[in-house]
Amino acid sequence: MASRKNLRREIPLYVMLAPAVVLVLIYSYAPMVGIVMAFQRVLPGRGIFGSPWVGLDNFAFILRMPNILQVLWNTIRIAGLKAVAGVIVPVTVALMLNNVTSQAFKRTVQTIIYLPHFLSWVILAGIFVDILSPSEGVVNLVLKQVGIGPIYFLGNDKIFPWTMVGTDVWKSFGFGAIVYLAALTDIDPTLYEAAVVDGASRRQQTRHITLPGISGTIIMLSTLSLGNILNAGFDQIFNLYSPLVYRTGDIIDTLVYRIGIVNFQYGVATAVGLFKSVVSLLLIGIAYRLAAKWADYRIF
Amino acid sequence: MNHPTERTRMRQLVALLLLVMMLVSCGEPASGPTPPPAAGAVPEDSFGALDLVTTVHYDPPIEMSSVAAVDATIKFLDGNDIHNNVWTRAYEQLLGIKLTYQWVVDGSMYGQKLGLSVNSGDIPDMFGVSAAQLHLFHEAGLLADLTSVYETLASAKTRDVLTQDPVSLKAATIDGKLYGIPLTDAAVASAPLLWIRQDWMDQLGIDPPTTMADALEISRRFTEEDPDGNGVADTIGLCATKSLWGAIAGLQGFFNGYHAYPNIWYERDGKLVYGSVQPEMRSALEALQKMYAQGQLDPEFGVKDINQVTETIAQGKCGMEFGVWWNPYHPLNQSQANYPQAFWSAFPIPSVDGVPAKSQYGSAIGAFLVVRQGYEHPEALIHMVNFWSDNILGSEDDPLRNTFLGSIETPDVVLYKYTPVVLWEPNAIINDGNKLRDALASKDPSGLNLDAQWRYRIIQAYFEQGILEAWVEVATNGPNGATTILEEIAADRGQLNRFYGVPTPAMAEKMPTLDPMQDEVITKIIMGDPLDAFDQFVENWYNLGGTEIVEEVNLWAERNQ
Amino acid sequence: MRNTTTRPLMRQSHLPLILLGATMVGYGLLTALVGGWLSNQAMSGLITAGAYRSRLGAFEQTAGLVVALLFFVLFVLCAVYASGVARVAFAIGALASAAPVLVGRAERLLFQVIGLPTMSAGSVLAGAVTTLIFTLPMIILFILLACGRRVPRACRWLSLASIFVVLGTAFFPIYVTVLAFLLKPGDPAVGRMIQVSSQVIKLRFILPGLSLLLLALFSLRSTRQQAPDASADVAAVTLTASEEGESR
Repeated sequence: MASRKNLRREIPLYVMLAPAVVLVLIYSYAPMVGIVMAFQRVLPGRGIFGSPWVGLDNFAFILRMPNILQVLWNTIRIAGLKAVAGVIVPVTVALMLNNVTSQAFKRTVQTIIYLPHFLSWVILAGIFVDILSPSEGVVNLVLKQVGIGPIYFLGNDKIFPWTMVGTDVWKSFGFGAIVYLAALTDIDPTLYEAAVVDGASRRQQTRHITLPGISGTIIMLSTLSLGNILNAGFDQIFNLYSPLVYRTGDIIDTLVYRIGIVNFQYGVATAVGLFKSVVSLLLIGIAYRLAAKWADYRIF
Repeated sequence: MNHPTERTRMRQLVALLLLVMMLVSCGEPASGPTPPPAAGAVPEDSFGALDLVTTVHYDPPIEMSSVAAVDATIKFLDGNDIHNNVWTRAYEQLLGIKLTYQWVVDGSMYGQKLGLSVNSGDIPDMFGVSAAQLHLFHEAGLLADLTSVYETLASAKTRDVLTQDPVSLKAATIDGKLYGIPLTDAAVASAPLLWIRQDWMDQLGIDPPTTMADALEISRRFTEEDPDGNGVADTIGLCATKSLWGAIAGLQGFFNGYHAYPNIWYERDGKLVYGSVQPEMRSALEALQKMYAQGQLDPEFGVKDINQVTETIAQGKCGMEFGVWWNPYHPLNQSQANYPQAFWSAFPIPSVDGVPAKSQYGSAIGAFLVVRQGYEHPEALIHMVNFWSDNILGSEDDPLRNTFLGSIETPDVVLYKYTPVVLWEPNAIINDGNKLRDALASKDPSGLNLDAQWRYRIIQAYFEQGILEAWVEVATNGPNGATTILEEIAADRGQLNRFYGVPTPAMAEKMPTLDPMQDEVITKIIMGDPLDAFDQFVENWYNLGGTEIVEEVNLWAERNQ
Repeated sequence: MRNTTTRPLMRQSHLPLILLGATMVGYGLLTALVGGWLSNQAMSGLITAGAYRSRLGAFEQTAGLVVALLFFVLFVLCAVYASGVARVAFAIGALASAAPVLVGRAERLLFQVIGLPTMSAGSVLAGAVTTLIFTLPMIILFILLACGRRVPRACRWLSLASIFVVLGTAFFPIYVTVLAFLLKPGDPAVGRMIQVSSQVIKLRFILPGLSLLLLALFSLRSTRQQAPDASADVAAVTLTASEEGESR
């Protein structure tokens, strides 16, 4: 009885939800039918079901590419490093900002570090090539003053992945820090008051109250970022890489881009997309399980 | 006071006249950018007054749907738009073809939008495709066979244009049947020339280079002898970009000087070979490596793209570059931004030995016009092409050019952008340049069309008024300009890319990896890796699919003889 | 009631003025001839644009230097031989002798040594500056002569006319250039103006030089007319003295 009554009461809520569900069905689930293109030689005008089936040829095409393993490894490496740094740096910054007492200073810093998030990589690439230049760049001029020889941030294939991680973190840590700062405001202030009464230092407060307080957010964002493990950042790398760093800098997306230039390969592009999605799904699933088991954290 | 009146009067007169002079000289330019007269009035066409040749007039008119790719910068005369302009009106009134555009998108979105349109079954009657799309659409059975309509209806001029470059029709032929009309252009326009800062050469008293050794010596002296005289060693001999190849500051021209032809296929001992893996590459690489070690290349060229190299050129630090004939329009004009006396001259690619070097270039055919399978009037396309080639090509008739191409008084309104049927004669650039040069030599611009007359005036302003900014026109179309070198290249100093088909299966699969591998090895060798890395690369190239590609290309060549 | 009498431009001899005019005309003719010869060769393709530029540059720089020195010496001589307002006029005119030095050098001087922004019209700006350096002193010279009370009447009218001649020959080419490259590129009418202005630019030194020669001629004629009337000459001399006294 009670549940039916509830249902009736909640009808308006379901009605309000309906458009969103329909939209998700239309725009997120219906296009999944297009996955079949990964198994076809897609011909124009034949539609999704009219093109000839080629089985796993498109996947075999990718795997037969001479450097595919190197490229896959580059992608995972750069994306993985970005994911790790993308948690550590914003959390550290958020904690530091949290301990700042001057509100005006805190806000100013927050805004300044948040700004690069809105710049496009096309613009930033030009700026980075200039400031990282070994002969004239600001960074290397400073390094030379300290006695460290010029570093080829963008031209050395050992350093290039780290440059990608560094510049990506620089661009996005301000945005990440805001999320953590928001989480920090959720912590019950009485905990701090109690800790102060008990004579806890600020460092002890951070370790025993602040960090546990935002650990849920940290785990959630880390888990979600695992879904991007095969997205190493096309815009960034495409605009900054060069033949000098192909060995360590070439990623799946840039490779697919070049395939697309040579030919119209909808099938191959879809196969790559499908492959990336499957890997992401698996990783998110595993990470979620692990988080639930060890950190007792559930998103759903 | 004696004669105060006379004195004052004189002064007043002087002052007044000075004032008038100033007003006159200041006032007139200010009224300069008034809207051009007459041209804006339209849309009353006077086709009747023009001497036009047509090969058909459908009565009643037929319908033809098409699609349009336009730049964001496209401009129309008052009252015109893409659906109603001089071209749509001419097709309808003169040929009886009602051309409508199903959709209009930006050029960069064209391929995507076309794919979408075709996949949703909404195929236009006539449209433009790339070479890859031509084959894909043909495989899907979407294209009409144009062989017989071309054979029976194409006018003499159309045939002439389409056969001037022997590969253009072949590129549109699949299994012996013609499926598209190639949109021809000047292939030789993509051949590299050697551009050198002429003012630096004069400053140091250097003669034009005849051999590669001369060019290397110029590069060395540009780097070491402070050609800009600012007392700082900030100049570099040769400019290059991180992508290595290209129309601007590409290195293919340098390799050509060593008889090496990277990235193209050419005949050697009766078979087609891939230029990038030929032994001549090695000696060119050796020379580049030496130049890099001596600071004659930008130490950071490996990470600089075209924009950054343009910046280097603008800062007046770059002394030489290998690029195509239009480079003075961009980016070489930039060097004048800081150094008004800066100007560049084009030279043929010098040779490393006694054998003249050849500039490499590829087919200029980027697109084809095709007709939908099942469209009732496939021949209408041929008539439209006839209309273009019979009337526009080679025409020096100013009213006609103003009507269909655009008037020089409204330079931003380019009328031919409104129609997909645009073909250029492969040797038009060279012919135009020669006409201009003849007029300059005889000091008589009266035979030129308005556009060329303006170029004539600009060159005149350079030589007779010292307007140095006009060097751009002088260096390209002027006496001894770059287009004279194009003529030599077209005659017997060019190396044409012999492969013009769609990528073979092995190419599609391997090239996206082999190309970066090649560029990586070349860049690293230039920056100091041992030359043996090149031999290693050649071996890898063949092992990683190159052998297969060479076989496929030679098979293709046999079939397309 | 003192009656102002006119007197010739030069006190003892008109030779400096005649020489100055002749040099100016000669330099103008020489540059027009050499420039025209070189540009003809370049436009018909006999020499490259590079050879054209370096030869013209070499000529302009040497001839410019020599002529500038000549101009300066002759202007100073004119100033010494002249009196009153004419002396001031020629002293100011001497500034114009800097212009021939600048021809062929102005770009480097303005944009590399001084470091002005070129605004991507460097040669036009440099040409304008060179023209201005020649034109301004010359115009002031002619204005002063036109306003001078004791300058022979014919000379005053001639000076007045010369102002416009100088202005016209100097600024018409600049005006056309601005039209051609900035305001109305492609206009056939501007194209025809380029044709005209490339002729006008050759008159840049010739016409002012001719003006100076004519000035000398008119001035000599006025000397001859006044010669019988010695008292007027004496009056003029005393007047000069008193005027000089005033100016001190």
